[in-house]
Amino acid sequence: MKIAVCIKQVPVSDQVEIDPITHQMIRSNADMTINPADMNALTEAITLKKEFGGTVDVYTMGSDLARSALVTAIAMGADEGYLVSDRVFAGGDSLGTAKVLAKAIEKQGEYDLILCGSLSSDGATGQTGPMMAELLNLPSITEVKEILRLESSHMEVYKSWKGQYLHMRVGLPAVITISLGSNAPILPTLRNQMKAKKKELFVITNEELKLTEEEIGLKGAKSIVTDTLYAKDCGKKSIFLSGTVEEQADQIIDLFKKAGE
Amino acid sequence: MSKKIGIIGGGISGTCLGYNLSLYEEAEVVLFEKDRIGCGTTAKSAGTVCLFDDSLNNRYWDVRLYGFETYLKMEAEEKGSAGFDQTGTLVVATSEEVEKTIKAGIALARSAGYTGEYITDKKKIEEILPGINTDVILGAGYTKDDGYFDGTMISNTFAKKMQENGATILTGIAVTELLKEGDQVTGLKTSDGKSYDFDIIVDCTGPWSRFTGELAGIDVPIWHTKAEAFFLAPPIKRENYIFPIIKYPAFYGLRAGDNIFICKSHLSMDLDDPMHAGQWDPDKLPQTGGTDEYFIEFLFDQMDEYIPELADSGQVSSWLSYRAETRDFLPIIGETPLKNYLLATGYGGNGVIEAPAVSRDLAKYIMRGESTLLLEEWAFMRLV
Repeated sequence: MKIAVCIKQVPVSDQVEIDPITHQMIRSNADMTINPADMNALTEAITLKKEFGGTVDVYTMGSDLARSALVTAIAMGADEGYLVSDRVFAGGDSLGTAKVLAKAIEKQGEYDLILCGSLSSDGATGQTGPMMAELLNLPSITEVKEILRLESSHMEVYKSWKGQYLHMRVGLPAVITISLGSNAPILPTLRNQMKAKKKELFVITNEELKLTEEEIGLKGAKSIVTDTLYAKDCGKKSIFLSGTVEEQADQIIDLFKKAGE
Repeated sequence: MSKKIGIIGGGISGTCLGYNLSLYEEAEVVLFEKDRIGCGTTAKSAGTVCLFDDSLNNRYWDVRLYGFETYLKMEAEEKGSAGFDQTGTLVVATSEEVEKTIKAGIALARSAGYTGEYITDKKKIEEILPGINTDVILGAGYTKDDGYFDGTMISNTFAKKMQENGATILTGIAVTELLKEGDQVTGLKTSDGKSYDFDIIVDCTGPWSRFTGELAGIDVPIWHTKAEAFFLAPPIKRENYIFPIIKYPAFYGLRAGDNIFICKSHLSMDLDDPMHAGQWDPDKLPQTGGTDEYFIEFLFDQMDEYIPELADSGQVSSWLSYRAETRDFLPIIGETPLKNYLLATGYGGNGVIEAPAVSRDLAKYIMRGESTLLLEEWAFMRLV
């Protein structure tokens, strides 16, 4: 089984600066990590590889800083890492990203299965996976919680939908997006991290993909962010109780009473 | 006659000093914490207070003992108030020099009535720390009596005790200005626009001391060193096994639930290496992550050499904290060039160990004017 996994780097913290003009996240100032749902997708792929054999190739679009995400993926058990990187890709929306990744995957050859995380923790559009499926002319199932059965021609999955589980069957090859928390992500060991650091990564630029500037990047974006809203301080504060246990219990009762008024 | 004392910082340093001051009837203490009690560098402290290791030179072993016993008594008074986890400690001798220090520490611990033994039987060492490479060590010191505490818990317990003694704690309030008359400090202003008059102000802000010092017009000679910590999920889970605190010259470890916490030791940091030390802004530290790439290599090399089993641990998470370190890796306590402006900072990761003895002595000095040998050795002037 030949599996491709698309991953994305997201900021570790929620303290991320936003460019006030472009409304884009200023990623260069933030510590980045692999998007949590993508960790679930990677784990699913590596688990399938262990069970059924085959290979797992990982793709990420981004700057040179995204290399560390590929190194982590390889330390988790992936085989090859592809950094899809070019200045013209920058500033793109979900469709632009899907076009770039789909083209890069197509260029490398045929895969039996393409996995993505269902949502990113920063943009959270959930669109890139299904858009890639459309561009690659493949069937797609989103928000998959569990892969129930895998055959050479098809697979069966559980998908969550409006609070219910759907048992679905899809022909392969297909694009599947994996839900956040659907498995316990594989933890890269120290030893495997060291080995992964020495592994050569492949870089794919637009010179090879030959996408036009009109269809990708900032120029090709069909959606624009017009405004950003900041969450207001919720005003929650902690109160430090002191005194004997009995006194503190009385204070808690008073607080409950006040809250109920 | 009462004495008004303002304390800046509500970590282990500030709360422990506040408690010790509140034991004097004539002390009127107000502590200012810009966030929450024990939430800064104290929250990221491992809280290991071991009876013998190299984190604090044996010259100051009484300081170590005083801290340890303070927390034991706190814990006995109210279980959980110091967050004690008695795991014991294994201090590993990688050289004859380290071995000598460990043996002296064991003698001191036994002199104080605690257990301690120097083990050369490699099978016995492996029973205490399975997965250890005993080929590269001379032996190890072991005691079952000590363990680690919870710095945030201790800070809150001290905070509670000082309030019970009549002291005031203001959280969520930052000090924005120090008020001066001539060559002395007379009070401070806070972020809520209020002013306070004080006879003495003590800066207990640890890694923030450079910034607080700037308000006072003092160059506080501390550097930030990186405390880079990793939580590892060990490859083998052993039933009914207690992972002890482990101490090697360049790193230490302890259990954290089912995981192992590993951190680079503060004495292995080089203040002249920009990778290790510098002047940074502790407010910009992320809650998790932020560790440098080199640290994985360092950690792997150390694990692979000394505890190969742990090199096959999964990395659960990591974080970075800043220690406030002086040139000689000892804190700065007491008087500064600015009259009535005192420091209790620069503990360099040893705040939990050192704060009780320091605060006891500093409180006495503030209230009675009586100094101690410890205060004299850790005075600001030694660094000028």
